[in-house]
Amino acid sequence: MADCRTIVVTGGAGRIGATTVAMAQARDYRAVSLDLRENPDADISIVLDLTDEGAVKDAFDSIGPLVGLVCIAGTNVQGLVTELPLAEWRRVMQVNVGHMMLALKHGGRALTEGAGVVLMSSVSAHIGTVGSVAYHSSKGAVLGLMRAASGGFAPRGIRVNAVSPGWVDTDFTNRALDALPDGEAIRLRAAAQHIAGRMARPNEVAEAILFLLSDRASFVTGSELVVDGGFLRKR
Amino acid sequence: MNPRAVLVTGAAGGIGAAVVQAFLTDGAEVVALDLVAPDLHGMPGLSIAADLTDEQAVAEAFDAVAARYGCLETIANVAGINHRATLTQMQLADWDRMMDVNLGGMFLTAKYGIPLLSRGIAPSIVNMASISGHVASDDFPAYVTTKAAIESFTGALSQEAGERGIRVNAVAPGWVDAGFTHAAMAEGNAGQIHEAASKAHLLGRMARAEEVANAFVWLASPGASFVTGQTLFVDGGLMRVH
Ligand SMILES: NC(=O)c1ccc[n+]([C@@H]2O[C@H](COP(=O)([O-])OP(=O)(O)OC[C@H]3O[C@@H](n4cnc5c(N)ncnc54)[C@H](O)[C@@H]3O)[C@@H](O)[C@H]2O)c1
Ligand SMILES: NC(=O)c1ccc[n+]([C@@H]2O[C@H](COP(=O)([O-])OP(=O)(O)OC[C@H]3O[C@@H](n4cnc5c(N)ncnc54)[C@H](O)[C@@H]3O)[C@@H](O)[C@H]2O)c1
Repeated sequence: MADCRTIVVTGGAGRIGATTVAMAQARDYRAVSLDLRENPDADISIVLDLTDEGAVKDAFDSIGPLVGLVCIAGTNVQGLVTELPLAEWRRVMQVNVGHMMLALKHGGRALTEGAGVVLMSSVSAHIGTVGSVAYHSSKGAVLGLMRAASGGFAPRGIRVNAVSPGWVDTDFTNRALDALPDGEAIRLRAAAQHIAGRMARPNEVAEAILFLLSDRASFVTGSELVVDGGFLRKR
Repeated sequence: MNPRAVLVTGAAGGIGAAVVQAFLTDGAEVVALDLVAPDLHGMPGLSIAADLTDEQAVAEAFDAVAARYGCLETIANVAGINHRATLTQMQLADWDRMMDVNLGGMFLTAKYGIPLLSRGIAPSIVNMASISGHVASDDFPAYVTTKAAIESFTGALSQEAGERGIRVNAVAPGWVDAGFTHAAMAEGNAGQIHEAASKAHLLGRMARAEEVANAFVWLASPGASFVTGQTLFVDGGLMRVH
């Protein structure tokens, strides 16, 4: 089906990922979900652990040519630097950054001329909150990977960019807040931390991803698009 | 339904004309402002001659917009000038002029435009910055300074305008095959400029004016409803090259 405009979405069963899959389908893309969990609405849903290189390679080998690669899968862990077990640090790095490297490594060849790659970072790359050292570090690393990869893919006209949301109203946010002793208080403050006075809706993040994938962003590469309702501007 | 009105400054310029065209294609009506009234080529809209350093002229321009549309959806601040002079050679009057046009013009369109934007449906402002705000330059230090300041202005305004439901963002192009660049090419070194551009950008070429215009249209669109206070680089990876 080489004439189909196929994209791969990692973390395609998660809240932002599934929203991206659905909105991409509405714009005539064929969307493949790669996730630990099934996304029954994706055109193809491959269940795998994205930190398993063999599984990632097999997945991309089975899909064929791609006009887009969107890496959204991510995880979080709480822990102070002085207390965080090395294994948990490594796990966050492997999921949040390592899987993107593997997807570029094994999916990169399938990307066609003019294709777009979007990596999910976060405003967390630009700030620090106590107890989320691994998450912040991983999202900063995603920006480094994005900038580095934009050079390697440029000769084939493939653009590589990142989207950095502020707080998004999802289970991911709820789980992170539930893990904190003062989570409820933080939740109440979260809306007020954005100039927009609220968290992002998942579709607002997906819109940015789809813009960067599209031909309308044909001269945008190596860029970070922050979708944070003014979170980073507000103090 | 009322037409969606978009004001574009510098509308007669190389990039400004592309921004006007992109908003028209997107279904908007355009208020085209420049030193000399821009040609709308028969499209519905308003063409206004105004000098952005003249507060009275800017106020009157927005009076005309209010009379015609009653509200505004978008202000696209594209107008800008450049001035070649090292800092030690620069005349203060030239420095002041750069600040007045490139930065002061955006201040005035915000000052007089925000009341009209507040009555829009999903209003926003998009300002023309440049990668120049992030790089060193011997020849154009005033330009570099104004373009960096535009990003700070964008961030500062995003708070005040945000309280009235208005988003404020900037677009930072690399080199664009239009306007300033064409003026430089007219001095006779087009070949060298293309050659240098192919090295400067990861994508091996300059931007087309439409590619910059597309970023203006997207940032002003409902799809960017959670994007504010930001700069979108449309630079073909120039900032990533070193
Ligand atoms: N929700 C927010 O507030 C927020 C803010 C900024 C950035 N982000 C980022 O957005 C992305 C998605 O967030 P979300 O809110 O949709 O979360 P989510 O938990 O709903 O989605 C994450 C998805 O990644 C998948 N995943 C995790 N580890 C995996 C692995 N090893 N292999 C395969 N799949 C794996 C999960 O199964 C899940 O479906 C993450 O990268 C997150 O860091 C979220
Ligand atoms: N061309 C490039 O490579 C490039 C790259 C990055 C950014 N930019 C920016 O894009 C914008 C447009 O540049 P361009 O290349 O199209 O140049 P241009 O000279 O063709 O356009 C600029 C326009 O602004 C108008 N203008 C200047 N002073 C004014 C004033 N006082 N009041 C009203 N209008 C005024 C001019 O008449 C002109 O039509 C500028 O802000 C420039 O800094 C250009």
